[in-house]
Amino acid sequence: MNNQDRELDLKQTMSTYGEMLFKICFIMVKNKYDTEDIIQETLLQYYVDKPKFDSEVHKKAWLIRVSQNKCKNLLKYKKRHSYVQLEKIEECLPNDKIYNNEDMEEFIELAKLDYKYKSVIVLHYIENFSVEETADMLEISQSAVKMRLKRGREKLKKTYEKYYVEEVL
Amino acid sequence: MNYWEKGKNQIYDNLEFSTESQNRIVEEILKKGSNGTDSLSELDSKRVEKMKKKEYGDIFKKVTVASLSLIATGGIIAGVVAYSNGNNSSKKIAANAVVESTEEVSSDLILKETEVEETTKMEETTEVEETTEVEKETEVEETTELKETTEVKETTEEVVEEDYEEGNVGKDFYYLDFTNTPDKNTKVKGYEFKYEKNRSNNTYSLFVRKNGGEYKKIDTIKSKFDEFAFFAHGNKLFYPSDNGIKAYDVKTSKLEYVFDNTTDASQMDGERPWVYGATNNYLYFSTTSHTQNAASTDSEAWTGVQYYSYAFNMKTKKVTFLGNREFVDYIADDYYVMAEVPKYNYEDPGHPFERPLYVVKINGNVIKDVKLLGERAYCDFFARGVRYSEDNLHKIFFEKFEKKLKNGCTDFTQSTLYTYDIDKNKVEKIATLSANKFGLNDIFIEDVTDDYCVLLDDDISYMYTFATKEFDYYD
Repeated sequence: MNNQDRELDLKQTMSTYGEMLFKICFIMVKNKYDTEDIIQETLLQYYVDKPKFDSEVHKKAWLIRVSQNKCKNLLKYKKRHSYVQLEKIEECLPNDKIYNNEDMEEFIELAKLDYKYKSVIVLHYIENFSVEETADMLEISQSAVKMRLKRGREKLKKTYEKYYVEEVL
Repeated sequence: MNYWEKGKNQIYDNLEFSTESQNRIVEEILKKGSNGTDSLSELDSKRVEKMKKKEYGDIFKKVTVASLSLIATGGIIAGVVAYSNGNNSSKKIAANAVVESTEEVSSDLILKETEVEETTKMEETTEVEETTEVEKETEVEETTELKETTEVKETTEEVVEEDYEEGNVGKDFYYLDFTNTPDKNTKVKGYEFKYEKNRSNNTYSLFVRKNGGEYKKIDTIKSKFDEFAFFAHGNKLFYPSDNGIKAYDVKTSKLEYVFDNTTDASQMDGERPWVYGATNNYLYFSTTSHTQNAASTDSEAWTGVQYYSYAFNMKTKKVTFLGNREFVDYIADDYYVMAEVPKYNYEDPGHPFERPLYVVKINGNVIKDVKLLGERAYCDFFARGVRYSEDNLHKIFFEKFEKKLKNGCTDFTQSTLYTYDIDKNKVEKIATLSANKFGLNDIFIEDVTDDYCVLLDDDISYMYTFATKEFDYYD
């Protein structure tokens, strides 16, 4: 592949997978600027390393895996906190739409979860990857995915219960 | 309505990655990309600088240095704690005396720990068809030169850091799971093994060297999983490869398939044989099966799980069924932890978290129950394997959830930590941890050492120190 083809391939990759990567990474790192940094690093690695793929599915999985490793590294070096700023989310939403409060609450609660839980929930329940694919992309065992799905659900359920009880009271 | 019920969320679906940002990033990449791989480290440097500005830089550097220097001995946690104690003492949470006395063992609990008769053997294993050899390892001769095997070549890569694990000193058997430590080396009987990963083509290369000499390549393994467990027994290193299990003999440099997924696995029920141990003659496997909605791969559709365990004789290629249990982890010598599917209700239909756990002793294809650790027990903390006492590698930690909810499921708000010593066949209680007393949602022990355990709750880790009964943030 010559330089011109590589450039075209990079643009196509950004066009095809950029938005998906943005959504997955945003919920992990919780702000637009870190998300964009991660996408830039992921695609730079793609551009420099020139990995070979058997299929588009393989390529998609590679991009998610690399971006998730970068998310993990970033989170490792940042202070742990569960606070999510509403304005950081609103900044990435189109202005002309009205959003369901319940969805926003859900989104915030999910974003507040520990990386290990939200990563499996996003990939499995929202992006609809199978347990095996999720395990492959996150480089963990299928048992670990299932355990984290279970624990993540439990944690979210408790948050909902607490939220709704407080609301009723 | 939750994600797992409707599978979508308006906010997530509408997150917008602007075309302007996309174009800017592509331009940046093209600019940086023309500088080759150096640009990656440049980006990393940029991040460090950025973090320094955010005043996290100092923490990052200290943790990194601590990680590099302590990781080989598993001391990273202790190191960070030591740092934390020395610099952040103001963060102590006054939660002394929140853990019950270790003397308060209920009679119910004592009953549960009643020893399983030493003579009990599993029914399925009584039919031993051959003389079981008790393998004794012959010492690896120090003068033995490694011969080159398939495609043996010296690595050009400089080994910057001598970061290896010694394993269980004095033991025949050594187990190393590279899942979380893919870049680490391991040392077995004077031989050091190194494992490298090539992400671009999903291959893994295995190297060996002796007495600090140059590394020689043993094999290249292609796999989409990182889950490699290497077992060293005697002169042999066993590891999963493309189509089964391979054995590499450090003395003769012979490399061979000892288990073939396509033929040998057909003697087993369940899916994906997963090796948990090896001797000179036997490999030990577990498989699982699920009752599953055929149209779905979703774990929610799994309504039940069943375990199967086997001993595989590498010489005769015969498989012996060891029972409806799953190997959880190897402890030491011939001792393993095994789990059963609970008979009570459990929350995750795909894979129970807490299970009846047994310590068993295996000799060839004969299995013997040594101890029932608990009906609702857990010992592979955070799916990373058993934790050993630093002073005694025959002593492991485990936890038991002793309460149940009205629906029969386990109540995770209370857990009791214990140790089990295989030499004394003795269980000792460390502490009972209660979520209410700590203000946590439930007790989820992420890690445990002789001195403290780490609890995870709502994105925050806490440390409970056994001696002082202090409950503290854990960084």
